[in-house]
Amino acid sequence: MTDTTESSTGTDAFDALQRAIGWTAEERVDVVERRHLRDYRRALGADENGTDVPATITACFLTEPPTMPEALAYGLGWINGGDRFEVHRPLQLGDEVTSQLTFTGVEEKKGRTGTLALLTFVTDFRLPDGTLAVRHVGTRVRR
Amino acid sequence: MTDPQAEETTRVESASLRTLVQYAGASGDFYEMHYDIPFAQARGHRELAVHGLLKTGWLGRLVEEWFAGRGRITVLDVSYRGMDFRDEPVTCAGRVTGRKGDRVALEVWTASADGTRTTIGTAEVELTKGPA
Repeated sequence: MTDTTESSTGTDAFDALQRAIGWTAEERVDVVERRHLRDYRRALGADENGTDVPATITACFLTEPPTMPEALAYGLGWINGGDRFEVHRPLQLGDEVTSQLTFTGVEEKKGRTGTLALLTFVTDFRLPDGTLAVRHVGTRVRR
Repeated sequence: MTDPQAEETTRVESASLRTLVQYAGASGDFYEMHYDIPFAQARGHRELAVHGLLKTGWLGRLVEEWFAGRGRITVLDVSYRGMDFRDEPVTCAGRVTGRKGDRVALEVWTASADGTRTTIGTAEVELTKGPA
């Protein structure tokens, strides 16, 4: 992901963000694969041969940072503001999940280092039968 | 090893460049701020930043190992209040704040070497069997 090199936190850039509410990324399908699980567990410092699927595994199925053009046009870079995982049905090895990130809101604030925009993205991860397994709410900051 | 009966638990983590690259590969988050020093410095950061979601993963692992065999995370909700950087200690901690039925409420956080809380949040664990 390449950021812009010129800051653009003016009214036009924020208006464009507000107009973009409702934007969705492309739908994606991911599978909790053994090798992927091993890589993720290793990165977290867990026993890489363990088969328990971490509650945060869907972090691997998010498109980070988001690719929304209006976000990339605001500010110079990304900061992660927060993450919420709601686990309705724990994922297991072999599960297939379909997801689509949706941009649901934006707020502009004055920070210590200037103006920034707080963007909220919601992603539902559903099993093939439509069951909601995990909802992720991400707050991402452009400044 | 986390004491399963403890009301509070901590573990110190640290992310080397290798860790950051492993996490980038596993998660697919290849934002350059986590492995490209000139890129990070051009954005005002003194070092490579630890992914926020890696810190959340550490907190999730802490809670899951704490409640291993007794419960599972139903909610993990964090806000990042500061950045942590490569090769610096990050204390990950959790504390029981309440119990209701089969649910245990936790406060979770990470802290940098000077004690500043860089991540704050909550978790909820659903007990699957036995006492909390």
